[in-house]
Amino acid sequence: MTIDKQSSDSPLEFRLDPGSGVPTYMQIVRQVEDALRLGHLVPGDRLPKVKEVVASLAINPNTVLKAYRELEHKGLAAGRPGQGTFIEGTLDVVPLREQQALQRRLTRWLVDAAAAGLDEEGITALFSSARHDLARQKGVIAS
Amino acid sequence: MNAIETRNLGKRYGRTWALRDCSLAIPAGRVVALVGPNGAGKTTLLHMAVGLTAPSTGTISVLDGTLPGSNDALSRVGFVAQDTPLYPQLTVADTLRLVRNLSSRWDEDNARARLAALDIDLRHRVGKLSGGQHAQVALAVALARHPELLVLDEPAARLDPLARHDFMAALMAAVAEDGISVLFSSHVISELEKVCDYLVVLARGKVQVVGDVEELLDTHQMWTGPSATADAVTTTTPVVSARPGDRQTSLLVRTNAVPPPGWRTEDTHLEELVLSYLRAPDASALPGPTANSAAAVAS
Amino acid sequence: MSAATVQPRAAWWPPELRGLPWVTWRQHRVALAGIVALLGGLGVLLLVNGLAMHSDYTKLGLNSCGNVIGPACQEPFTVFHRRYGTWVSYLPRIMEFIPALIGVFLGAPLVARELESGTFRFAWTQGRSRVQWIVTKLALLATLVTILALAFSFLFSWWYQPWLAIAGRMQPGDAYEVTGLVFTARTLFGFMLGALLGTLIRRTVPAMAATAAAWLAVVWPSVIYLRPLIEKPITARAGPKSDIPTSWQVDTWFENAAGHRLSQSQVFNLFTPSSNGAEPIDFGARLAKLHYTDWVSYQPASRFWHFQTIEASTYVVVALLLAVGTVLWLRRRAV
Repeated sequence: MTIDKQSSDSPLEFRLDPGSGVPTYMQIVRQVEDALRLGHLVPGDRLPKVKEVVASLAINPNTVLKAYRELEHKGLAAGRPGQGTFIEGTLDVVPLREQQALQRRLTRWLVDAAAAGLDEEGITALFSSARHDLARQKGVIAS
Repeated sequence: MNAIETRNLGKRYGRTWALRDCSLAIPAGRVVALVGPNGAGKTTLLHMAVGLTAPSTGTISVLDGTLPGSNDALSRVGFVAQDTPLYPQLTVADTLRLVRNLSSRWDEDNARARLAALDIDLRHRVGKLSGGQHAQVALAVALARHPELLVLDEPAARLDPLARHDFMAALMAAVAEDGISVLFSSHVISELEKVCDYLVVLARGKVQVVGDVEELLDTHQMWTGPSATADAVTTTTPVVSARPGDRQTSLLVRTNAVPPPGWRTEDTHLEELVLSYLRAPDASALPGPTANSAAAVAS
Repeated sequence: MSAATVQPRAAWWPPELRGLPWVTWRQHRVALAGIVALLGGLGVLLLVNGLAMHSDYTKLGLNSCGNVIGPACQEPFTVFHRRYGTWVSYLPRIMEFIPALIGVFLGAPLVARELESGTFRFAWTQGRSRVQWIVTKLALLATLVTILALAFSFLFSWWYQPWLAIAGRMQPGDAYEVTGLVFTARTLFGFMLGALLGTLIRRTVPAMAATAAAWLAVVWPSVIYLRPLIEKPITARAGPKSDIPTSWQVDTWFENAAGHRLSQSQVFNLFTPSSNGAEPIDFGARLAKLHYTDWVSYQPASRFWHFQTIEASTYVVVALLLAVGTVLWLRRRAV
């Protein structure tokens, strides 16, 4: 039973995956980005109030604030004092041709990896490690 | 402003020191988790913070220099003790009335709204409530006093997962709304990361780890690599604890450096960090000039 | 989804209590109700019995009899005694223990229950310090029980009034313990004793037992050893002037011509039958022949208020010391 049962006028309900290894605030950022990508959110929509998110997910309010700040930093949202945080920009969509090219290269790499004897988990481990090193080199803590 | 400040705080019962050499400066506006095994001194520290126990040595002050137990502190600090004690014979309504008659700040509407949203009937006797409802009443009563600092002693220990979730959700919503500082103790580590942003680890009466959660996670990594070179790594990098294996060893290290060749690195998470420290009682992560020592600190 | 909202019931007495006084009332109303029920029930008994007793006393003409020595009073007195003798024998001896009961059931659980059940961690962190808490509770409850005890004592004095001239009220262990001021003072003492023992022992039932034991351990010896010290009894030759039922006969003895007390065996010999067996003993003649004198030491009824005041004041002073002890102990230690 959650505290605030009145329906928010924000169309987004966040989900948490605690075992995924992804920091909570990042999961929120990603869910907003996914919603934008799929068209569930459009500029002008209000993101759920911090209190609402916190009351349904039982997480620290600072985490939500951090996620919203990250979205602001990325230019996707902006806070209006006293009213909340609203979607502003749109995602830089990678052009379809580039996406297709990237996917082809990825498929080739996967074939190479399988031929070298790497199984699913090995591929995932390798991928995570490489992303991690990249992130560390960039000095940004994200995975 | 610091929510809680202690200097060489200690408490002795007879000849046993329940808490020793405790020096903390916990900033306000945080959700602080006080973690440690049973008997580590968590309840002792919390009781001193709310004025139920007096220190044997050292000093403690709350909310920027207020003495715990003074009238000022009593009206600004809220407390939910272990097992959320309430008077079982009183009805919920009478419990509200009791606290209203004891407190200088009381928001009756806040308490009633919260309890109404949880479908808790005010006419029921407190002793007849379920564990989850009991805890929610204790929390509602504490929050309706609008404290600046809320201290909770293992508030969710006896609750089932749903009740625990609802309890923490209510607490977090209050933090979102009022910006209160929260200090709660827990010996269930797995669910802490969602909720707390500041950590204090107590082991055997002493502070082992203290700091901002984000900072702690930033400054620790989990390195995995061949056991053959593990000892070499241990001598050059501060290692908190090691999980040695036949071929492969995992080390929790306190550094931002890149791992040596042949070693892989991963971010650690709060549960892993806390467990590693609890397994290595000689290791510590305290603010001060210890971070870059090359000497191994671990078991 | 809305829960029933309950309007708080208006306090059934004016003025409406607030703050710690309300808390005190709410937490102890059951114990207080029990005390009121006990004293009230016994009070009704005294009232009913007393009305009948007062009425019969007048109707039988005993009010002009003094201490019923005259022959005209024997017959009415026998009737009176048959009807009310048992009451006047037993009621005071039972009622003198009421102060202990109040200490046990109101005083002992006061702090002990909070410490034992852990609710002190709730009670002392809601805005009022434990010192404010204990001082308010002690002051309010002490005042209440004092008033109740005084009222009861007063009612008892009224009830006992016909027997004042007949049996007096100086006898230890009897009406003295329920009338006057000592009953009330011992109630206050019992309450504070219970409060302190509850604070020290921290467990309700052991504290209650300890309170009962301690109360008896103080009161009983104080009656036997301390009360005689309040004022030196009057020593006089036994005779109609000293042989007054309304006084407290402390001691009787015989002295020989030289002024030495007779031993047990010597006294015993006075009662041996005369040599020819059949003759009744002329006790007075025997005494005179041996130049023995019969002595009595007693506390006259006129000293009643003096004794009561001294004894009651002592209990009140001790009660106050116990109260201060309780507050200081709670402030310093407790957890």
